Amino acid sequence: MRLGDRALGLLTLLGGVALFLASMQFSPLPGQKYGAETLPEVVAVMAIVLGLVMLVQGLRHESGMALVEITDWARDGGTWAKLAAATVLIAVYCVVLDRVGFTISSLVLVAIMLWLTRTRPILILPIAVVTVLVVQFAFGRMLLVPLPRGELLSLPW
Amino acid sequence: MSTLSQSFALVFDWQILMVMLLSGAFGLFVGAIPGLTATMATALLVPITFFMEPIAAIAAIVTASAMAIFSGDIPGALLRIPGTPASAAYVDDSYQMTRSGRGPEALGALLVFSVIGGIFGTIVLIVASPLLAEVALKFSSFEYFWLVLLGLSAAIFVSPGSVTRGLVALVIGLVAACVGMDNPTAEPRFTFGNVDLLGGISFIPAMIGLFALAEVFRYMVHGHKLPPPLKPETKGMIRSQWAVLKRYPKQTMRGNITGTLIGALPGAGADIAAWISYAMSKRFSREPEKFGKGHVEGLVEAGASNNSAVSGAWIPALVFGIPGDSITAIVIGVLYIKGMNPGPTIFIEQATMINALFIVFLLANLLMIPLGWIAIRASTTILAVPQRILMPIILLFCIVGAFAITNSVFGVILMLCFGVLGFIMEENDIPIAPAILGLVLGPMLEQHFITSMIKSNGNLLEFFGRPIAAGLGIMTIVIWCLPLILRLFRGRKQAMA
Repeated sequence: MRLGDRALGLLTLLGGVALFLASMQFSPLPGQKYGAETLPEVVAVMAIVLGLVMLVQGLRHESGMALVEITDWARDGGTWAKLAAATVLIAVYCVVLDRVGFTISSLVLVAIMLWLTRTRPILILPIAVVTVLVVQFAFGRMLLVPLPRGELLSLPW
Repeated sequence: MSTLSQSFALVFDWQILMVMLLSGAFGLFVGAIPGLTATMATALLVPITFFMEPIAAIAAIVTASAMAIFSGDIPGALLRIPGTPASAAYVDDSYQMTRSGRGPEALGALLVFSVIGGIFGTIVLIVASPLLAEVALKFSSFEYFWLVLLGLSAAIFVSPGSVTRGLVALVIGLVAACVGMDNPTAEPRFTFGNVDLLGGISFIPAMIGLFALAEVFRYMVHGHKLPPPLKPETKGMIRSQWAVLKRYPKQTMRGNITGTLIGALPGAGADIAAWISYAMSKRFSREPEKFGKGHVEGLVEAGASNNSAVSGAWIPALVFGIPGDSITAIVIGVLYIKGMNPGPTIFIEQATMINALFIVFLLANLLMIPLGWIAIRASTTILAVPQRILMPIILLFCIVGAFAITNSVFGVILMLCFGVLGFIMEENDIPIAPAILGLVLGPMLEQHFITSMIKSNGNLLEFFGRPIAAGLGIMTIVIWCLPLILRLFRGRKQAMA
């Protein structure tokens, strides 16, 4: 899926306006004309001008064309579902990591990802287990990264 | 003990040599897998370098990136699919040569001229950096301001594709650079009350997201099923290159020089260097009709060019702290973490480390011959690793790497956000390099601007008050006006015709 110049220009323009409004709350250095607001305001003005240029360019060269070009993969609902599943999976992983711990959450993550990439079912569990154990040993034990143990491992059993 | 012998002692330690061997093997593997880039190899390596001594960390990055740029040529020659974007320019020639039974000549040329390019770039780095540093010692905030702006402008106009989309990328990078308290008045900017964002956007998780996670997403969408590779032949591979070198000395030298210069330009790296050198080779060749049909000349020039660009990119990174490409953008972060703050004084204050870095560069390029030979021999096995298994494993490495930087889930969240952003950007032909430069150079630009304004009491004309600053300023403005000038020039030419 590819945004044309008009759509991307409009988004850049709106983003620039929002950035400019948000930057107005920052103050300059005492006794100076410039300060924390300078860079975001300059970037906002740059975005507004850029958005306008892209809009004009798009209106000139993209007449009769769709605002958004639907590429091959974007026509397939299954691909969208796979992409969404991978994104949601990592987001859920972030939420549960501290509670469930690195080992279990990573095991589930890698196993589902292997399933999404259509790895043979018989291979999914062995690959997931070996990967997680190797990563845990390398980072957790050797490099001493404090990977979360999770609340589950703190329970009486 | 002299500085140089101390540097040799630092590098020729069994631990450093072992790190170089392992990271070299890692770089060769990542580079040889189509879709995985040298920048991705570097981004994935950074979390591990966190736990290393400074010189080991730099040795790991230098070796992995140089090897990855070379090994990207291997699938090009065997599958007609470039391993990294830097190998895309001459993939038709190398594949046609392998198909027609000239595999050893093609693979040998790719290996030997990569080494020659890498060593040439390193020699320029060794000679030019200290000289440039002496000039840079005279720089004040005015000169640095223009230099950063010049770098950002060059990144837009050199990057392939549309200039407007390059500017969109720069805006994205600069907006990300605004986040946090690291600004003139230490006000929290765009943190939305989040404590983790007060320190700004952590650069490494962002890079892992943009380069590695975005690639995992791209695989989910596009998938890559590789065709069976051609069988690599290595008999007489290296020996035959002497004749090639004697036949194309001018092309080799031109590739070396072009690559180093393009590498030194901010935002332009090995991939652009290879494309430009290949085009130049064809343009000045006596047999341009043979290009794309299995001719070794383009391989020689572009192969030398992309590896010399890897070394060339370190020149502005070390002297000014301005990255020459996406790999050195990551490297600058690592240098700061390791206490080797880039800038002209690094050559005086950390002479031993800098000399050690130069030795590492030379050693890594020499190591490329044996390791590259092994990688070519093992290429059938490397290319047989199914990507459907590799991608979930890479995802876990991305997660652990991002976690290790912040020691919290925040790094992983940041990586996810930038991974999605990187995927969207690539799908919309928005280049990544200007965004990275914006993120790295944004704070520098702001700091030098504000410092200059305090010094000059808000007088903007002071930016042209010193000769070097004025020169840099005029250069920057000329680059901005270049599209307009070119358009006017073309219009006049058409009118005359």
